[in-house]
Amino acid sequence: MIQSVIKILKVLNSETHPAQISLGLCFSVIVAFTPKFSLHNIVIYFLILFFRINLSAFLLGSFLFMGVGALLDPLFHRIGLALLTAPWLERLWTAFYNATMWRVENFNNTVVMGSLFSGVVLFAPLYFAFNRAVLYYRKNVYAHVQKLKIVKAIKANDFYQKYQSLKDWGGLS
Amino acid sequence: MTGRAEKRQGKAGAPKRSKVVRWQGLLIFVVLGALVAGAWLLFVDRYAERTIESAGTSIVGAKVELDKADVSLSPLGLTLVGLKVTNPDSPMTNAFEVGRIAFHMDGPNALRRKVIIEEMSVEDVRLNTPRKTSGAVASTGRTPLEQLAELPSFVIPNVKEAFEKEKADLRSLQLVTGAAADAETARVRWAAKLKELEAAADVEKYQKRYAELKARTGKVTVGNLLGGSADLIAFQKEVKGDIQTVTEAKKLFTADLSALQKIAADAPAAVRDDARRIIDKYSLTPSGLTNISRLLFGPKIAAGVRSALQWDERLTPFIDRVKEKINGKDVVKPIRAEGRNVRFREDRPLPDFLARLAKVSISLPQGNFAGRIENMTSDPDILGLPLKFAFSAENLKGLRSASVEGMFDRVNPGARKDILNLRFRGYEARDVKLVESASLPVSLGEGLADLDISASLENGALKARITAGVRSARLAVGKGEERPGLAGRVDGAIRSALMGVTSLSLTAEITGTPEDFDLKVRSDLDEVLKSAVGGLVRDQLAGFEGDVQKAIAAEVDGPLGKLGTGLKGLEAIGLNLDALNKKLADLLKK
Repeated sequence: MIQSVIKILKVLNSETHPAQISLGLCFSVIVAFTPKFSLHNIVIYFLILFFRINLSAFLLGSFLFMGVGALLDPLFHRIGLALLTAPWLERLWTAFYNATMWRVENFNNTVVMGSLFSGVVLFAPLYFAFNRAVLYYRKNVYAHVQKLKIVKAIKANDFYQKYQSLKDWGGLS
Repeated sequence: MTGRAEKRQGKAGAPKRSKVVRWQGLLIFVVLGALVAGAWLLFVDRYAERTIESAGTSIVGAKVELDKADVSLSPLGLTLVGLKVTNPDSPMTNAFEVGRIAFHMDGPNALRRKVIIEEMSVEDVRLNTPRKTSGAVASTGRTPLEQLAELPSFVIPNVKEAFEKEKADLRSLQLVTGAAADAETARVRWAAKLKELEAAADVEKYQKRYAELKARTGKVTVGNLLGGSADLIAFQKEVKGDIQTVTEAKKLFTADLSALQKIAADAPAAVRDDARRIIDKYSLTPSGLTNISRLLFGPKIAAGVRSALQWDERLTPFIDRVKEKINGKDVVKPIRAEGRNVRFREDRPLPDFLARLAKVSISLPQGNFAGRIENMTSDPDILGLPLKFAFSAENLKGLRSASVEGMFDRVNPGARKDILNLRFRGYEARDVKLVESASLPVSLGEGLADLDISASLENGALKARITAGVRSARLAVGKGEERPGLAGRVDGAIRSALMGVTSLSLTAEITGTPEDFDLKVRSDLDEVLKSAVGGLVRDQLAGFEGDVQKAIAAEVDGPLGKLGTGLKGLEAIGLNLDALNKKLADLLKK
């Protein structure tokens, strides 16, 4: 619990650009919504590590949105079924179905398709929403949070001090 | 050194840092990938083992266990060791155990989530092995036939009980009660009709008119003669018309009365018929004795059929996955995943699972069976070929030869057809339980048996024929719980008769649906048992039949009395109709 709080503070209070935090959170939504070992998730893991996207935000987001994803599975199934059985998309899906890469992706599963589609569609709106939320926090909430006793107690903790020392380790913040 | 120079030196010394990519991330991705791959290699066997155990358990409805699974990557394949599948109907027994299953898969197709196996080896299959711990069992209902285990038909029932159960369905009672009600209705109707006729054909009025006519023609004039003759003709015509009406009414009345009289006359015969029907139903009549094979062997055969049908049902998810049609697309439920998989047209259609050939060796205490299963697939409609299997063995211990072959044809979902043919020759049977009754447990102590079973399940219609012949037989009838009275005497007679049997043949025919099938069993034991217990049953039945008849007659008495009263009332109306007719006829004579 303490570690999670530290991570939240670390992510939100770091000097990382809001866009990097938002991208981490947006990618975490896709990973949390869809089956963990899907092909597209391996691509996302690569993007997260290779590009300067906030890793802590990604990990934290994955943890937070995982439960939401499980609850939304019935909705994803319906969305996926509607897309996969839509007559106007049949040619596209048939072409995908005959390509090995897409079969590995398991795109023809209704939950995979519905969750991936939802994650991708939500990506851009969530990116802007998260951006604004981070900016708002830094401008209006950050100072108040710093004054909270619990925050002071956490910051005085040894573990937090060590974590702070790793702040710029390898640019992985 | 100036500040600017220091800055330049600093920039040159520090590595250039990209704002977009972090190269260390690539390294971490590779390292993490390697770690995941390593972990996969380390745990894939255990994962495969758990997956097979959990999927198998959910499909079979009882515990499925596996000692070891070994996944190989090059060539891609899987080896399973020590597979144990619990019999859901007997939790302390494994329906079968397989020592080793090994196969290689087609790699590129595996990437497309298709398991294509050219040849599978299934070794050391053992059937009905004991388990140390119990497996889960799904409860199953029993057919009415199986509930006949205690042979209730050997017991002459209590008259009162039998009568009370059948009272509502007594045809004699229904007939007489209905007739009594009809008689009363007819009496009221005909009484009204009689009044109506008497009012229309008022004899007194006719007599007055006749007197007037006669008086008018007393004075002999031409006018009187002519006018009187015309009136007389009109009068006669009127009376004749009334006679005709009354005669026709009488005809209808007679038909009504005759029908009711016939019912009253037939009542005793109807009572006798009802008594016979109740006796046939509730006791072992001489005619019912022909059914004794069914009573003896029916429950065991029915249990076997039900067990076979349950396995057929359990195998269905393997050999024919449930497919829905949504917007014209085939949609299937994946065995281990959420949601549904939607299928599209493939350039080279292949089933999701296909084992073209499985070579199977089965180890039984009697010896080894060898066989092959062809075209095992979850999508027979895509493969276009039915699953076929054939096993055979010769010169086994206690069995001269055996062969089992069959087919599960689900190529066309609208015309599914399952076939099973089984043939055993020279089976040295020992202590085979035939009847598991508490009062009359019968077993085949020893004998040489031949057995043929042919069964088919085509579009929900079940059809099977079982023929069995036993030579050098010795039937053992256990000393069960002794029943009092006739039941005990019948048990004794059957026991003695069966002890003397040295050969028997049996034919069972099963028709119907898996949920509700009819079983007909014929055996040469029928004649043996008929002569053994027929006399006993006949003596007892004579008294029973009389008692049943008396009970029915007592019940029918009341309505029969009402019917008699109704008939008497009707007969009186009939006499009145006759009297009216006579009076009218007398007028004409004048």
